[in-house]
Order: sequence, then structure tokens, then C-alpha cells
Amino acid sequence: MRLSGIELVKALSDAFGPSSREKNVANLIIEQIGQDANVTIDRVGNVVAEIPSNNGSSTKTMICAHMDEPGFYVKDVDGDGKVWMKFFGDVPSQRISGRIGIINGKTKCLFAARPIHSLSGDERSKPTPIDRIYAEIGAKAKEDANVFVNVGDYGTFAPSFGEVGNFIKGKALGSRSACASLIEVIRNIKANNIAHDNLYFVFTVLGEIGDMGAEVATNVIAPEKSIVVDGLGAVDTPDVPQESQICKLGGGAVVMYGDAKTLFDRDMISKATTVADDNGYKYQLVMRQSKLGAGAVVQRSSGSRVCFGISIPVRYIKSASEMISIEDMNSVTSIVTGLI
Amino acid sequence: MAEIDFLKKFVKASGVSGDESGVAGVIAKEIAPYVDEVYMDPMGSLIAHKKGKSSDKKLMFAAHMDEIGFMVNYITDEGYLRVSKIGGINFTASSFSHVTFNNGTHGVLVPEARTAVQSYSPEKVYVDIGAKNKKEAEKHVKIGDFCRVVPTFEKLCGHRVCGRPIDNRIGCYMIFEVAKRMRTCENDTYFVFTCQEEVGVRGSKTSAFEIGPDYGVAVDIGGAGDVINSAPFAVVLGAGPAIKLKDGMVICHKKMVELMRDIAKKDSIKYQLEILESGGTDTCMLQQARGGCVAGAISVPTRYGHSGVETIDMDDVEGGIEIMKGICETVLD
Repeated sequence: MRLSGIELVKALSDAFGPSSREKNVANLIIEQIGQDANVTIDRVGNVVAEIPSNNGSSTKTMICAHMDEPGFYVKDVDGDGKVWMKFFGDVPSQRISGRIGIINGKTKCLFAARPIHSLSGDERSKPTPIDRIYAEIGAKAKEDANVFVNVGDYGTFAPSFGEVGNFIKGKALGSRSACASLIEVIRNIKANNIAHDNLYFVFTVLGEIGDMGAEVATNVIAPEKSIVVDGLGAVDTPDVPQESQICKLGGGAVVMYGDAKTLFDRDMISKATTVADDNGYKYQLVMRQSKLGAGAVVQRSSGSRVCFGISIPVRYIKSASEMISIEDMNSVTSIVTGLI
Repeated sequence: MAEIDFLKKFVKASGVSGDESGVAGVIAKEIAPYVDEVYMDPMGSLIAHKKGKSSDKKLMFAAHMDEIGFMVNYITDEGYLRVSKIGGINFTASSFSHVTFNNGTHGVLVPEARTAVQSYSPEKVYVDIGAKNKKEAEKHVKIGDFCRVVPTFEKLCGHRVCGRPIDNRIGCYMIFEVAKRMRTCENDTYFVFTCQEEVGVRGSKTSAFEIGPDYGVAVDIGGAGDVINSAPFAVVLGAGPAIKLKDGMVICHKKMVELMRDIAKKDSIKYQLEILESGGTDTCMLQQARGGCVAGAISVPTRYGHSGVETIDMDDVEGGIEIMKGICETVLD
């Protein structure tokens, strides 16, 4: 079914897709864009949607967003049926206990740790180490648990999409709202008959653990120009001074000057702000050097290319309930459409 | 000295990593008469190419043209600017300095009041451009603008000079001089003025990939062990250019080291050997480009790197130019 707006973001957010297990998300995306582009899946699992040039240009432009989410894999199921995990994608341990997770996209679990009343005073003041957090699936013993969960299985936070006042919340919203944005751009191009270069919309795998998917796509496509779309942590929350808030929910698309390993192309930045100014799209300029993104591999794998980054502000990033403003996402969609 | 005045032009041109167009323009204009073609690559490295007379082996020289600096990331209500560091900034050395923006705006980089010297950091310094409030500041600068400590260049005793950014305009000057002075160009030679070295050897990675050199020579500043309270380091000012054996990111190819030493011996050029524990230069990216290449480097012994008073000896610079000129005039196989 063709989804758009909040419905599309909900479907993407709820889809199960920890790094290296992105298939569900990939299928959902293909379902949404299959009729608008030539869609293929490359060897590592990236979804590549190609729209040939309609303006005679042979320039290749790649627009990418990663479709995986942070999660864990099961490393042990103990005699009592408790599930022990290894988390990946920089999930902070303070954000896990007490939340609901989902294993294999099917089995719900409760992330738990030693109860607070059994901890000594000293231990109470510290966060539980991430390797002492386990998943409770309600099993009585190992054999019982193994019916549902086995070593090597993958999991994520459980789907929790919802609307909260002006904003929306859910798991994996940072990257999935970027995917939704790309889908909307593809549709905008078709609907408005926009003249464009050879376009490659790439929904990449392994974005949470080092952007290997983006690197492969870059090497194979070898685009002259690239646009990286992603979520960016906003800390516009109480007790954080204005200067450290980085970006604001509802403040519009984040036009990035760079990230931890990349300085983006100055001409593309001015083009983006011009497009936004001319059309009244809301944006915020951000120079932030601590975020790690796909910029580095997209800019510099196999040769040199013009690279630009644009992001959707995300509150409570890497948690079970990330929060974004759908208006910010729409600004990103409009600016990226304008750049094409 | 005419060469000093010429070098000053390279030093004073603007080129904080990510926006090297100022210095690239200066170099492009100067080097054009001595090569067959000059062009920029997409990331912003400047490439000057001269076809070879006898060998189709590709020889690539790399000197980074970018310099360390700052980028505005926030403007306070009072009109002060907060900045991100671009490259390895020494905040003690940069504090209480004049800074300049490409549009001519001038400012001073200062630490917050009551900040101990040891805690100078991006969070603890700011730029004061004299604006009364945010509104006035925004007339002159915006988030994302680059600034840098005001460039300087002065003569010291003998053949020594100091200033900033000697790192690495001196390397740019040296490969420019090689292009100008070489009598024959035996190999297919690329003089590459790389971008974004100071933020993690980025520009050399992509330009070396595109060119795919067989032989690569990087030129950059090195350290000097002849300062008071230095860690033991056997490189001093005035004893000749340092032929790099290793740094934190590369072990130089034996063939390149031997070639440099042979030329130095033949032409009676003084040289030293550089063995650096940590840090890296464009050399590692030359070495690992595509299928790999025979890579080495010349380092200019430098005191007080990444400060406003980087100090070098022009005799070392001359020696380095002569060794590289020798490489150009050697038929490489």
C-alpha cells in the first residue's frame, strides 16, 4: 500500500531492521518506490533506486540515508531462561532497562537488570553496566526460552510510534525519517516533472556500525555529487545551555557545515540555503564536529566528490522513543528536492 | 631576499581546511607557466600536471595547502562568537590572538574570564569582534564562517624565518620551486596542493586515488629536537631537510629513502633522517592509493608547530627543493 506523511514514517519506524538485518525495512521501501524508480538490491543489501537523467546530463548524483537501526544480538540464553545480549549502535546503557524490546521482530522482551533495592549505596549511584542488562522473555528455563530465542538472534527496541502534541515519537526515527524523506523526494520528482541528473537514491545498510553500506554504494556508483540525509541529535532540553543545544526540534532542516570527519562542500551549502530562503523552507545552520555520519566514506571512498549533508533534528536520539517534528522532515524533503 | 617576499604571498593567502580557494588561486596563478595543465579536483585539491619526457611512470608530489583555523558555530545574545576548531589547535597558543575572516572582519580570540591556562578549550574560548549584540554581529559573520589567527611572516637571524601558517605553505613553496627549477621533467609529474590535511589527511586520499601514482613524495613540516626541554629527537634546524623514515601512519618505502639519500650524496646536500613516533602526513595516503605506491617524504625541521611563531631555517628548505628536483630529473622505472 502506498503510504505517505505520518503513516509512512510510522511504518518505517515500526519496521524491524537492526544493522545487518535490514530486510523488512528494505522490502517496505521497495514497496513504496518500486513504481517510481528502477530498484535493485546490491550485494550487501543496499536498496538502490535509480532514476535516469531527463535533462541530457551524464552527472551522477547519489542521495543516501541509512535504513538500519541500533540493536543487539543474543549472545547467551542462561539456565534460567534469561537472554544476554551484546548491544551495537551506541545505545547508552542508561536508556535500556525498563524498556520493551523485540527479538527477531516477533518476540517481545523486557530489558531488565538487578533490582535497585538489592544494590549497595555506591552501586545505586552508577548506571548498570551494559553487559549486566538482560532480556526477560518470561521463560522458566533455557529449553523454554529456546523455543522463541536463540544465540545469534537479533533484536531492537519494540515499535512504539505515536503522536505527542506537535511532534512524533518512536524507535529508529532519526534514520527512518530520513528514509521517508528520500521516498517523498522521489515522488516529488515524478509528480512535478523536475529536470534532473542521473539520480541514485540509496537506502544503505550498516549505517549504525560504520557506514560500510554507504561506502560500498559510493564505490559502485561512483557519483560526482552526493547528499547524505540523516538524523542529528538535538539537545534542546531542560538544563542544557542554549550554546550547547546543537539544533532545535521544529527549527527546520539542519544544513550541516560538517561532521566529525567531514567538511561539506561550501557551494552546495550556499545552494541549499538559497533554495530554502527563496521558498521559505525553514532551516538551521549547524557546525557540529562530534556526530559521526556517512559523510566521510561518501566524500572520500574511491576518489574525490562533492558532498553535502542535511539532517532532521532528533530529541532523545538512540533511545526507545526518539522524537522528531514532521515539519522538520518536510523541510528536508523540500530542500533536497530543490537541490536536485 | 626576493624568495622571502615571494614565500610571504603563499603564507598570507587564506585557506582554512574546507575553504582553500584563496591559497589555491595564488598557487594556481604562479605555477601555471611551468606545467602543462592546472585543475582543481571536486574536494578542492589543486593539481598541476607536467607530462614526462622519458618515463610514463607517475610521480606525485603532495604538499597540503590548508591551514588550521576555526569555524563559527554559535553567536551569543551579547554578540560573541563560539567556534569549533578546525585541525589540531593549541588553545594556549591561539588565545589572546587576532583573528581574521575572509570578508575582512577582524576579531580577537580570548578565553572566558577566570579560566586557568590548562583549561583553554573550544568550550572555554570565544571570538570578540566588537559587536554590541547578536544583531550587530550577524551583520558581519554567520554560523559556518571560517576564521584564522592573523598570518604573520618575519625574518629572524641568519636564514631563519618565523610566522604562520608556515605549516604547510613552506611545502607548497618547495614543490612550486621544484616545478619552476627542474631542468628536465623525466616522469609524468603531478604537483598536488592538497586540501583538508589538517583535519585528517583527507584531500590527499582522494587526489592520490584519482592520479594513482607509482612514486609519491609528500612535503610537510616536521618537528625539531633542538628546543629547550624537548623530548629526545635527532632532528635540528639548519642541518638539512629531514628524509622521513617513519611516522605514526607510514613506514616509508626503502626505494624512495635510498633514492633521496643517493641524490643528496651525489649533489652534496646535507640531510637528516626523521623517525617520528606519532602524527602523520599525506605520505600515508600516497602509499595506500589504489594498488599502492613507492612513497616517501621530506620534512622541514620546524620549531613551535601549530602556533603563530612556527620557526624554520631556509637552508633546510633549499636542500629539500634540491633533493626533489633531483627526483624529477631521474628516470624512474
